[in-house]
Amino acid sequence: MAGKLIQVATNTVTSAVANVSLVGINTDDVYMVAVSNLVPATDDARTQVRTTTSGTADSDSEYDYAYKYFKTSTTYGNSSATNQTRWDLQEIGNATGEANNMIFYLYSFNSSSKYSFFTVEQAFLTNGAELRGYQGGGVHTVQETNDGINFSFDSGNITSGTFTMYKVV
Amino acid sequence: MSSLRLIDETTATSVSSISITDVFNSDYDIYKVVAKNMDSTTEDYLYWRFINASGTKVSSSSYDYAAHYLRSYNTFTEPKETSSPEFDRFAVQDDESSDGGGVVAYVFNPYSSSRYSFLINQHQAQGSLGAIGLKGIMVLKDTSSMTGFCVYTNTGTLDSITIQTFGLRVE
Repeated sequence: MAGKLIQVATNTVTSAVANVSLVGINTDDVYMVAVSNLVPATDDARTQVRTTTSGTADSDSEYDYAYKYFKTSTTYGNSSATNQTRWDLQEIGNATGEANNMIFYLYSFNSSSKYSFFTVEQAFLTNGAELRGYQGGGVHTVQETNDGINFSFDSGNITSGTFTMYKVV
Repeated sequence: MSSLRLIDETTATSVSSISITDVFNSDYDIYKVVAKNMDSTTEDYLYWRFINASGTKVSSSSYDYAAHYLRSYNTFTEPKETSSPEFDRFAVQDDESSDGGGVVAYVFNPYSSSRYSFLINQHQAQGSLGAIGLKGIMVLKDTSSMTGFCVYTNTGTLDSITIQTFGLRVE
């Protein structure tokens, strides 16, 4: 993969918001999304990710995913689902030091004839301060042009986090 | 201009430890660390420790990690540890002259004095019995500001290694 990253969109949350969208995918390049220090207002809230169409999060039931689930406390697990209303990325804590950090790569979002795909690497602390993380990916099984990605929690607001999308060229 | 900014590139030969200092700063929250052309005298594990703002290698038992050890010749394993004095699974040391594996890692918030430092790594090497891969995550549960890191062998020496440190710029 080539070595240049061109910033497309960024959002640093410093006061609580319900969700964050990074929009600006308009080429067939691979895009990378880096998320650091994502913290929920509600302890043990689940991170949710959706594609966007014309800047609006897609709320259909066409999200599939499969991850290997790394845990420091026990045997690793598998997490998978089909026909969901979002890509789920586990519950995280909001005490001091607890946060979610992720690297995504996005594929074929710009195509109107292909599905939208992503891979993710994640490291976070649970509300018990246990290190865990997903590694895997998913697909939005709709043949449509998606112009970005949306982050939210299943409960409560986003307290903090820096979200940046780059085009990989 | 690329938002992926090369901060440092260091090549070393015949060393057991390589310290990359003064690379984490307030300009970036996320760093990409690439290790390449890795060759060693011994087949073992390559460790990681952060270096704090005082220049001290952090050896307190504050590292938690979980890795997936992927082998072409055997079952996969799940090395994991809490309250470790270092990150024990940054990479595997290759010991054949034809080897030259590499690592891509992302480091989150190391310079912050209020957040923990996280790391995600992906690695591929060739051991004496076949291909070895590592996928891992790590956290240093210490809110002190970190300005660098040290990569070192468990045993033996590194015949060669090149480490590049990039910052992911946010404008």
